[in-house]
Amino acid sequence: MISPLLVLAILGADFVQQEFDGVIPYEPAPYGTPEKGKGFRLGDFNGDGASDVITKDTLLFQIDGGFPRRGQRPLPNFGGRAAGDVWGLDLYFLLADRLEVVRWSNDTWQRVLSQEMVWPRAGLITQLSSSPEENSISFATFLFDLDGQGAPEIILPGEDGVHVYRRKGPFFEPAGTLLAAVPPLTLANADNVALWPKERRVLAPPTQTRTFSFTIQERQIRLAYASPAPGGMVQHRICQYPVLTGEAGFSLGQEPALDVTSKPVPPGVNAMFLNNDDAIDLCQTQVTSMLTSTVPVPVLNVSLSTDGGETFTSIRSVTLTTTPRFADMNGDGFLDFIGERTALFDGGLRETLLRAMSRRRLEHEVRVHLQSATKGFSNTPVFAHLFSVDLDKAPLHQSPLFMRYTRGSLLDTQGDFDANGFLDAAIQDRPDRISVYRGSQTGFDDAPYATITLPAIESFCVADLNADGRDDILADAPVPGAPDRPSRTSIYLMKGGAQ
Amino acid sequence: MIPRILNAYMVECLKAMRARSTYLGPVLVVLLSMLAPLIHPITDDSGSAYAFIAFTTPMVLNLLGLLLVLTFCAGLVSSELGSGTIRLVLVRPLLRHEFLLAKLLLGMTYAALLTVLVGVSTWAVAAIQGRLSGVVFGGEMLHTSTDMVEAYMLGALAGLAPQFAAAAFAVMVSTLARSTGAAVGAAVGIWIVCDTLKYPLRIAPFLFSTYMESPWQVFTTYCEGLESSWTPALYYCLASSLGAIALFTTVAVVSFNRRNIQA
Repeated sequence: MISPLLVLAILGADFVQQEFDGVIPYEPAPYGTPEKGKGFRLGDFNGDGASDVITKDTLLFQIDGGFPRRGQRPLPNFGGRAAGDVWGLDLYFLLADRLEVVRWSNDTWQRVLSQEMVWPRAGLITQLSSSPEENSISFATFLFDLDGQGAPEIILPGEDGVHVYRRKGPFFEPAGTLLAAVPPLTLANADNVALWPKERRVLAPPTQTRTFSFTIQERQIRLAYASPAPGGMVQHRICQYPVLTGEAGFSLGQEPALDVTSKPVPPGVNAMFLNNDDAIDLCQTQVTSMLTSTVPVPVLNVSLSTDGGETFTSIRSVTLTTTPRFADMNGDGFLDFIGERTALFDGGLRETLLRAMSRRRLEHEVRVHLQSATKGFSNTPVFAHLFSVDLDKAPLHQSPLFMRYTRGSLLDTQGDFDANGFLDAAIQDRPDRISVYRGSQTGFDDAPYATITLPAIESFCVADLNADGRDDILADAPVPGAPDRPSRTSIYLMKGGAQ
Repeated sequence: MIPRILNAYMVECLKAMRARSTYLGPVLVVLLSMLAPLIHPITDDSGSAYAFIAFTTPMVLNLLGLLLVLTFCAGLVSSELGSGTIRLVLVRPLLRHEFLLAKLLLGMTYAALLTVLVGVSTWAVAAIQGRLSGVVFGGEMLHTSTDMVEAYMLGALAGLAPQFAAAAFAVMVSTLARSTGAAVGAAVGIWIVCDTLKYPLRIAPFLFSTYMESPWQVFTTYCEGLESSWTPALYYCLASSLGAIALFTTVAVVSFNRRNIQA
């Protein structure tokens, strides 16, 4: 018998469907983040060198380059809400009041550690405590190697700073609170306090809040936060401190390795990491309506700055999606802006109404504005590609497929399916088909590189499940012949094709 | 042949100028353009006056203007056929197709006149009530007033192609009908049916009516500060319109030549 892989190697690239009878609760990761998909994690849990997949309830071992049913194992039940993270062969689970560490060994889950803990009541732990009776697992990132010793530390934000827990002997213990890094407290907006009836009237003390995000890389902690500036403006600040290790625990270096602030900007302007330089990158997204149209045509206005608010590049496009997409399309380390334009409103009022009532095909243009180190984002697209999407019904019916189109869920430009360093476009261009178009320096190919056909696809996500450098696809669809059964996830691994 | 067509065209123009109904269309489009600020107010903002022009011109020309062109042109031949005056007209040294081409030229002139009137009236209203000093977004001058005038002029010029195609369509229907009422009803009715079914039948890309507003797209998107390009929509518009003009004129000439005008 000729091996399917040999046939693929001869014929080119294609997706190979894997057996899986369940649901992987994936969701696409936000654009501009290194992760590809949320809701599951990858790791080598049996030490065979192949990447396995862990979902909220199942561990899928990779066997012979796929995820067959015989390699599926249920996750342990912790009797409460848990947040999981992966470190080597071990799975760490935070619960509201304890830490559980498990490892797959001898064909079963072995408990490595179960320890009562008092966590700081903020962020992730607040979420876990909100409904402790609920029995579920989600994934979060809380394991970091702060001291470079190879063992993970648990990092959790608290009201008073960033808390660190490290392993001493068999157990974890508090190892310091990184105080200097957190931004100052500011007065929170007062909640609505009832004045009437008189019995419900209370004296509400002013509450204070602090909001910040942090990343940890190479024994440095980088915090980003916004503080009020005169004239109702805000000023974004990024501080990066070296983390010092001592017997007593962890502390921050006195002098920040980086401390930059942006120009005062309006409150709707958000800080982002769009490249690796030290300047703060800013992005403002506004949705307005076209001034010239009789029907309300949405216009997405994205203003981008890569120099801390000194200069902005504004890119406007007619699109139904309201979330800007960023991805490093050409692999140069700079996140590029992926603009979109729908042709649904082209041709004026009459054509728009006719199309909405009677046309199932939509034209959708993807416009890539590359970011360069010297010039920031290009005002005009460097390349563009027009995709056609065949809906199940005309837009006026507002079918689930069209509603997904309006949310931008039919397109994903975060995957590199041929591992050539350029991101490709995966688009659900028919109710039952996902097509992948290869990306290159000059744009996307005209013809699909590979396709997936599955009845009535409800959603899909891109991720490199088997860690072979080529991204794969997860797609949810109803079970054929069983419309009453819940949808299940199909796994499609990309095989073959030139790298 | 050309002098005879031009002579007949001049005669037809004089006839049209004497008819009161000819003036109804121009008056209506100018009136609608003048009243358009009630629907789309002009503010003092930069770009508001241009947005008004971009809103009003396609709306008046492609909704009311189109209906007026269809109605006017559908009555050009059918009225003469219905009343029998065609027999008297063709006593002159004038071939049938020359007469028909003169009628078609008159219909195109009417469409061009409406375009000019809408253009003049909307720009006049915009100039009086707003500022026409270019389009500015975020403090940056994206398009100067000269850019905007050029985009409008080119759009208006290109916009004549589908208007002319509509005129040719109505003249063709006019040669096939027995009375003005039937011709007008058929022209408008066929238009509506074709527009309604063009997407389900997948013939929309080939119909010039799909591209009626394409020539205005660049001016409109300039007003919004959006990226825009004349191509390929303008090519589709011109190709489908010129093809339609050739087809409708040929059908009209062939059918009119074969028609028994004594009946």
